[in-house]
Amino acid sequence: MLCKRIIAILVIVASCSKVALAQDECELILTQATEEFNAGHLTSIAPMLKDCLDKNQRRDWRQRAYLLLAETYLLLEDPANAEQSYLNVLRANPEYITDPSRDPIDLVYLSGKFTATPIFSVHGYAGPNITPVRVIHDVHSGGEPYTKETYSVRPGWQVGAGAEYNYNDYLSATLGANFLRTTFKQTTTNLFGMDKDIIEFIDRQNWMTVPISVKYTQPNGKWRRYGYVGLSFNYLMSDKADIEINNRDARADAGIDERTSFDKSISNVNLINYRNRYNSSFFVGGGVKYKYKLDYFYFDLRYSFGMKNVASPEDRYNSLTLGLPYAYVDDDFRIDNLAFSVGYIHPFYKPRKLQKARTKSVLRKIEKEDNETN
Amino acid sequence: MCSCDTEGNVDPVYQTYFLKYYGEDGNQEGVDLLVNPDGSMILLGNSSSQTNPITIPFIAKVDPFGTVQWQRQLGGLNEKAIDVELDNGGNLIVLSNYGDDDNSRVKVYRLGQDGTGMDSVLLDFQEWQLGRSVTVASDGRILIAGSRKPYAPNNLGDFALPGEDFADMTVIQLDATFQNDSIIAGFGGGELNGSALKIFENSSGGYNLLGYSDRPAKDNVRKTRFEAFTLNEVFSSPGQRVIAEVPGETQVAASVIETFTLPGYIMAGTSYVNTLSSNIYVVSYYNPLDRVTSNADKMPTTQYQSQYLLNRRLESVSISAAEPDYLFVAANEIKDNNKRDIFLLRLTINGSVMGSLSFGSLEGDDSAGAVRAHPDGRIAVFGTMELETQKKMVLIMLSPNGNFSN
Repeated sequence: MLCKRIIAILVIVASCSKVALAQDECELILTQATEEFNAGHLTSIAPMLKDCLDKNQRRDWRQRAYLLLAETYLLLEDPANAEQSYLNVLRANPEYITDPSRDPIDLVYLSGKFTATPIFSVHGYAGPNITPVRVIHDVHSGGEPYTKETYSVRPGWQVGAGAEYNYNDYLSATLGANFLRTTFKQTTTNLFGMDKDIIEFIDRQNWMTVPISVKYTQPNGKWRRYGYVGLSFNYLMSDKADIEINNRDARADAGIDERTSFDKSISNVNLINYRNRYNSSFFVGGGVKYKYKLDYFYFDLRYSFGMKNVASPEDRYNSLTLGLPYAYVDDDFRIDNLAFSVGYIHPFYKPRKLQKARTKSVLRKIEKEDNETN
Repeated sequence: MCSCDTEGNVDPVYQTYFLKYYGEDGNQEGVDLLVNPDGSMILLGNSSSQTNPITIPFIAKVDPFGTVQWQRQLGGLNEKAIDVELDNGGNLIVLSNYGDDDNSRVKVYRLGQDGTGMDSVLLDFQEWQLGRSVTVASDGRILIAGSRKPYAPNNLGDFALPGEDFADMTVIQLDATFQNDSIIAGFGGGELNGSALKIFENSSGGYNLLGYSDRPAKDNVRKTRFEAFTLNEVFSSPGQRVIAEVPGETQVAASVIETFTLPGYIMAGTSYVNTLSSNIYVVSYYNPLDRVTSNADKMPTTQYQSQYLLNRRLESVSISAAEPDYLFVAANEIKDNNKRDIFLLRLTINGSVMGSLSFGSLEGDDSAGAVRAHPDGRIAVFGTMELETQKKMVLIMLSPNGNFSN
C-alpha cells in the first residue's frame, strides 16, 4: 500500500516537472519568436510557435503568442489569419483590451472588430436586510383614541441567484429568484388606558421573489460601479408572529402609577390566512463589482418599495373571530426592504467578431490620447 | 400587480365594520348595548380586578366608528349593571343589581349623554329583588321587570306549591323624579321559579309583560316555559296569559323586543332538551297579546314559535330586529370544553334562518351581551372576549350579511 502511494507521488512529481519543462521551453521559443519579429523575419514565426500552441499552454502565454501572431499576420497582410489570431487572444483572455499607447495602431483597429463581452452571466448572493413598514391605514384593536402603534425594523436576510443578459458593455437585463426573510416589530401602547397595556408583535415573513431589472455598469477597471432599477414579483410563502402581551394594571396596594403586569408570550402564530400572498415592489439599487480573475465579487445595496397592501382587509378580523386570543389587528400596510448583499458573478464569455466594427470609437480613443499627450 | 395601494385607493372598510375591545384595568364583561338615534353607542358592562371577582359597573360611549368618547365606572363594588335605556329626554337610565342573594337590591341611575351622573336610587324593599330590564314609560316612570322574593300569601290554600318557592315574576315602578317607588306583584304567585323580562306599555292604557316561569298551564304540568300577560293600568292581569313551549323541553326566556312590521313582540330564549343540549327558541307574539284566532280556540295564539336545531349547544342572550326585514339573535355557544363562543343567528322577520356565525377563541370563555340593529343598517354585537391575560368588552360591527365588508 505504501509503495503504491510512493509510486503515485513520483508519477505526479514527474508529470509536473515535465509540464514545467515544456513551459520553460515554450517561453524560450516565444522570446525567440519575438526577436525574429523584431528582426523582420515574419514568415518563420508561425512555424516556430505551432508546436507550443498545439500543447495548450498557459492563458497568459497563449495571449502573448496569439498577439504576436496577429501583429505578424497584419504585417504580412493576411487579414484572415490576423483576425483568427486576435480571436484566439480573446479566447485566452476575454477581457484583453488593446492600448493605443502600447499596441500597434493596426492591432488596435483590428481589436475594434471583436468583442468578448459575455452575452449571459449568472450570479448568486446573500446578505442581511431590514424591512421598514409604511402604514396605509392605522387600524386599532382597542377603542381608545390615544392607543398608539409604532413599527421598528428587525434584521432579516436574503439569498438569491439570477441570470443576466448583457446587451452591451454597459447595459444588461437581470432576472432572478430570491428567498427573502423579512421581519418587523409592531408595538401597541396605551391600550385600555394611558400607560397601560403594551403588546409587542414580531412578524416574520418568508417571501419568494422574482426581480427583473435593467442595469448600467461601468465596463472597465478592477472595481466597477453599477446601478439598476427594476420590478419584483413577490409571493408570501409563510407568515408567523411572536406576540408578547404586557397587561399592566394598577397595583391594588399602591398608587395608580405603580403597575403590576400580567404577561403572556405566544409564539409562532400563523398569519398567512390574513395576508395578501401576492405582492410586488419597485426597487433601485447599486453597488460595486471587484474583478477576480475572469469572475467578479460584488457588494450590492438595494431598496425595494412595496406596492401592495400586505394585510388582507376582508380577512383582517378572522384572526380575532377564528381563535387568536389577543388584542392585535393588522393595519393596512406596505413593506419596503433595504437589503445589503455580497455576491459572485460568473460571466459566460463569448469572443466573437462584431457585425459592425467599432472603429470610430477606436479613432476617438486615439485622438483623445493624442490630445492628452500634447 | 404593478399599481400601488395607497390611502386613496384602499377602502377604509375597517372604519365601518370592525371588532374592537374596550375596558380598563382588570376584567370587563359586556352586558348591554344601547344605540342612540345619532348612531353613537352606549356600552354597558361590569369591571373586576384580576385578583378579585367583585364587580363594579362600567359604562362607555363610543361614536358610530367605535372610538371611545368617554368611559367611567358607575356605582360601587358588588354591583352588576344589567340594562341601559334612554329616558324621554334622551338621558341614560341604567339598571343594576346591588348585593348578592338575600341582600340583592335594584339600583337605577340617570346619566347624561356626556356621562355625568344626574340621579340614582337604591330600591330597598327589605327583601331581595333582581332586575332584568328597565322600561321608561311615556310619562317618564321607570318600570323594572325582574324577579323577587316569593310573596307567601299568594301561595296559600289552593295555590300551595309542591316544593320550595324560589322566585316570583315582578315589576317595580319608580316615578320619573326617582322619589317614589313601589313593587307591583299582582300577577306573582303559582310559580316556583320565574322572572319577568320586559314590560311594555300597550295601546289600551295597560301593559304587556313577558317572561318565563314554571307556573302550570292547563296541562297541569309544572315546567318552565315562556309566559306573556296583558296587564291593566293598575298592573293586574284580567286576561289570559299566553304560553309558548316545546313539549318535553324547558324554555327559559332571555330577551324580548317589540316589532312593528309584524306588530307584536318577539321573545328569544333557550329550549333545554337536557343539561347537555339546548337550542335557540323564538316566539313571535301578537299585539294585543291575548288574541284568539277563532271562537273554537281556547288558548291565545302566537304568530310563530320556532326552535332552531343547529347541531350546536346554544343559549340565547339577546334579540334585535332590523325592520322591516331581519332579526338577529345573539347567543352563547357552549363548546365541548365548556367554554363559550359568541354566536349570531340571522333570521328573516318571519323567523326563517338566513345564516349564522360565531366569534371567540378556542380556549377563551367568550360570551354574548347584546345584539342591536344600528340605524345605518349594520349589526352591532356586544359581549365579552377572554383574551390571553384578561377579559374585555367587545363590540363587533357587521354588515347586514354578517360580514366585515360590504
